Amino acid sequence: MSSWRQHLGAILFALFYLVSLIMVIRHGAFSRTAELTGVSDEHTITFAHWQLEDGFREGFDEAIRIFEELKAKEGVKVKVVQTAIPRRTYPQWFMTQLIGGNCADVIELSAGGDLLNQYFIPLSEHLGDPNPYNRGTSLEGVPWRDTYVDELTNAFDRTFSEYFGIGLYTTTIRMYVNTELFRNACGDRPYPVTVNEWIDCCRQILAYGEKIGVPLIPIGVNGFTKETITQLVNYYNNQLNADFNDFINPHHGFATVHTVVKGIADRRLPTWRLLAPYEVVADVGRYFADGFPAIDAEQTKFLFATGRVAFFIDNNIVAYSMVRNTNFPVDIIPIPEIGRTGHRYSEHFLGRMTETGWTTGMFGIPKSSREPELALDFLRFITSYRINKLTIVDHTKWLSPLRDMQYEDPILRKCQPFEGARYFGFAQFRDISTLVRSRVTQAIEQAILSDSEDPAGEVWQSFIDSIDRAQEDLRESIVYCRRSNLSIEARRSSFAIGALKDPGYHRLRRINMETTSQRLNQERIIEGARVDLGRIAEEFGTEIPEGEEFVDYGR
Amino acid sequence: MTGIKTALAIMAAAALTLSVRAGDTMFEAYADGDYYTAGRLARARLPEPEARLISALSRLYEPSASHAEEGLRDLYELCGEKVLSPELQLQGQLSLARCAQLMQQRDDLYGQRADYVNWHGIYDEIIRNHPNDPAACDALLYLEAQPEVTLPFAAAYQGDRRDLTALYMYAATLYIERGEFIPAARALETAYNIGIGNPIFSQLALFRIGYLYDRRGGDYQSAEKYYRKFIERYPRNKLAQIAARYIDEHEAAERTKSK
Amino acid sequence: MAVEVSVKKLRHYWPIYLLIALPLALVLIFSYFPIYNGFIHIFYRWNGSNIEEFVGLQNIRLMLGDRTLWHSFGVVGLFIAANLIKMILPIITAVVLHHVINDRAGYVYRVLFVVPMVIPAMVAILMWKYFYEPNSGLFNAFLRMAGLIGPMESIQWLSDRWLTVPALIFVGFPWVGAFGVLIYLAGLQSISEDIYEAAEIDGAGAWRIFTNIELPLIVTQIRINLLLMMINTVQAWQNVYLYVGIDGGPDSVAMVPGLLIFRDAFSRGNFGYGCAIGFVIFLVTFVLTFINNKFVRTQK
Repeated sequence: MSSWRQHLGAILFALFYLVSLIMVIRHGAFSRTAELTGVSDEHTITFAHWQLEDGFREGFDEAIRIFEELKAKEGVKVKVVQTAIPRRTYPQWFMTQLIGGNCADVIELSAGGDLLNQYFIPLSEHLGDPNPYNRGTSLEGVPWRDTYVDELTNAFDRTFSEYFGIGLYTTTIRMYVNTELFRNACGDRPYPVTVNEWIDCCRQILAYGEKIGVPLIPIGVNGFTKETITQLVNYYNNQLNADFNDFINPHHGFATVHTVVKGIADRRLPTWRLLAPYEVVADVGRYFADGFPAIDAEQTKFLFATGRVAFFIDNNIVAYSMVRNTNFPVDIIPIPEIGRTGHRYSEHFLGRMTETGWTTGMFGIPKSSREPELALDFLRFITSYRINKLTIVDHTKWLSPLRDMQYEDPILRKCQPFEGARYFGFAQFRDISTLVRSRVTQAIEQAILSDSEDPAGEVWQSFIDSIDRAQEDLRESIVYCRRSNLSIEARRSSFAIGALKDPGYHRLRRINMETTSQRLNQERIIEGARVDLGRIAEEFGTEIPEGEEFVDYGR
Repeated sequence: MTGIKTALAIMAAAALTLSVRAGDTMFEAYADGDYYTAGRLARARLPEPEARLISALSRLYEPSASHAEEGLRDLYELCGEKVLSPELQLQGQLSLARCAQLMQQRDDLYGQRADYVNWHGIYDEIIRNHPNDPAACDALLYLEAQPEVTLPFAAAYQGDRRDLTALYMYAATLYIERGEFIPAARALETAYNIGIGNPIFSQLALFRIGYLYDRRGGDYQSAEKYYRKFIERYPRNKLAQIAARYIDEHEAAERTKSK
Repeated sequence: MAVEVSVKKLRHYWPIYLLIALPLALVLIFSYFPIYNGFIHIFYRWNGSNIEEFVGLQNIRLMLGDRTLWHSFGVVGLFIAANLIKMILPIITAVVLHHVINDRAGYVYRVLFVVPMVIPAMVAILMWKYFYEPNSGLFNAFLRMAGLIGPMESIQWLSDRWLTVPALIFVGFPWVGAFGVLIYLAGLQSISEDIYEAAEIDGAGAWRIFTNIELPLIVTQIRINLLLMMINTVQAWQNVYLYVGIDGGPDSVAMVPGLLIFRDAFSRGNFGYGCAIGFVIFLVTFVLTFINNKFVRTQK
């Protein structure tokens, strides 16, 4: 055999190595070196997220092109590189980027609290200034924070009283209706508006299924992640119990989970009403798909697309694909309410709650960014009225979190957030700890699956059974609280010493102290909740406590 | 010789400029919360007092418990020597006291290794010797002093009134815990009128003042202007709808009473 | 065979030791250091990044009182028992394949067993998830067609607390994995023809040949497979997670220790507790390996 054939493997290896070396130098190392040595005058920033949905990347490609052109007109050569990472691996990728110090310059947040404080640039000082990219729109001159419908309440980190991220879109929950199936089963009746009407429709759909010999699913849900059942419980809890906000928390006009637990322990909250949302969900849950806890959203969407599901509950993000990718007409309606008449809980019905305040898709700028000013500028750009409309509304067909946004598209109009409710959403006792939330959710699922006669009792039983572990979790919360106090003190010290050189830091120091003043009673509240849980377990056991008529403090 | 002296003078000036710049950088890094860089720069300038301070503080705020203990010890020694400028000495003492207080709370982590610091005494000393310095306001807050102590202090305070908002806000919290809602409303009102720096707290305070007067204190007359102000300033906020409902409920109740 | 090396020879062979040093260092860093790190963090409150606080035996105390954890070991015990039974079919299949007279037919059957190996595990899991789907899945559709359940009825294979674990055990039916079959087949093919001839002369029937000749001579492979099966069963969690979710199904009835680690560590940020559970899994695996080595003897 000739010698070159004998060394074929080594030759191929050397060849491929050479090719990859050239590619790396061309695309990576050289431009990086140029950047580091200042040889190149091009500024590059990276924009990273997990949004692989249709239209998002295309919308931002166009926005990036506009931004680069705008900057070129100002005499600055800018290159923005968009990177999309799959959702499943995003949290892990996000952490490795942070720890490696190699993060994208504008990155979608996937962490909270301490990590944001440690790794991300605080944005509060910039939020009071108008967004210059809103010139010529109705938001011109409006402080950046106030351009948002919820004034960025969702983005506010309460531990550090700081904003580390700015949101790009907002979501609402809606019900998608297979109108063909609905008409065939329910005739000309209008879409259900109340729970009773909904249940009646579901019965008709099941009857229709029996008639045609096809097992139909009245209500399709995302059972695997417990998303739908959690959303429905929240939905009905707010409609039934929001008036308790008026008296239960002396500090504010709205309850926290700790004050709810105290209210139960003190017998000031009628516990049967706190459990009523679970009963309503159990009533409705009888019409969920069989075995729904093991069915994920993709399976349910498949069943919906095959025409077997009448109502599908999901957020507005899937609205376009639901309407466009089925070969039957699909309509979008709000989830039915308790209603003012006809339901056993109608007497306590308070109406639908306001849907603003769910701004999400938070993007922040890491401290390790080499181009923080440019990154901030880009963040302002993508959260400006015109560009947010271009990217989120026009391309991705989602909802914008900005004020004054008009939707021409009928699908988006149906998903628009509801405003104008006169009550605030109400906290739930199950949120006292992650474990309790998980156990209570499982309990209501089982109650639905087993067609239980006493779903409220089963939920209450699971709550009582989880109290020991919840108390452990609250002990950990106190530790977390104390640990955060040290981080907050570190910031105070930084600002106070900074103020000796730059008076601008005085304001930050004062804000820090205001945060401290609001946190000093946190431990007492958490410890109080821990004790209240013990009282509940000891005094009530598995019997649902009778709440007395609530007595308003101070009157 | 003149040339050599000139050269030496230039070198000294350069070194001084550089050290000032490095010092600025050290303080800048610390003010930005970059404790790692601040500590590194400080250690390059040891044993200067300012560098010792920044080095000790940077160690104190590192996540590692053993480093925090070392930082506390270094800070304790430095504060005892009183070699810092008055402003830095004050800040050093305040940090020493607060961190020792917090470390004693975390006895699961630090045991009794911070017990040698009499943080209460340090706070008292700061309040006594610097009654018009923001550090005194911070010390009073950290002592979680009752309103009977903080409000007279605040009334007598001659520094920037904005330093007092946190004290008034905490006084309101303590009054609420006692069930004294009208004094709580007044304390929060004072904080609001001075000007709460945090925009979220400021917004919420406007609503809370009305809520405390009306729903807790039974004084709708005092509450109404705050409800209306809130609705006017933050019409899209969820709480504006609630304030509007409270006004409507009161007016409906008045109408029923007059019938 | 290992030979003692003198220092003089060591100096002569130093390039070889240098070459070994690098992979050894990598093994120490990427295999042994994580184990050591995990063991240390049993005694820490650790969130995987910036929180790392020594808490002594707190995690172990929590573990001892965690009913879900002990239940999960019970579930793993059930899975091991089921997998033990599932090991029988590949052995029988290998024996049958071994006795196929026609070489070509034998080759075709072997290929047919190997082809499904190309299906990625994730695809297989999704397929079985579809089979178990109560509304339109294959099993319920078959049962409706056969009249065993009504046209509107459905069995909730993965949502019924009594059916979830059996359903997970049933996955992979008929459990004739190509890997096991090929391993046993290789063992059987190493048996000399003379032994078979001698057995036939002695009048041994198929059963006696199997129990007295074939089974003893493939016990090495069985032992290896048994050990790997036990280790994999104790550590496995991904399939349970994909079938029934992070809570381990209705009332956590199918919770396994690996899934509990995933839930507590990655979902709740409780990495220290996850390390403690991981250490218990290590101990259980160690004990099973010891039992396997002691009681499953090979015969030469």
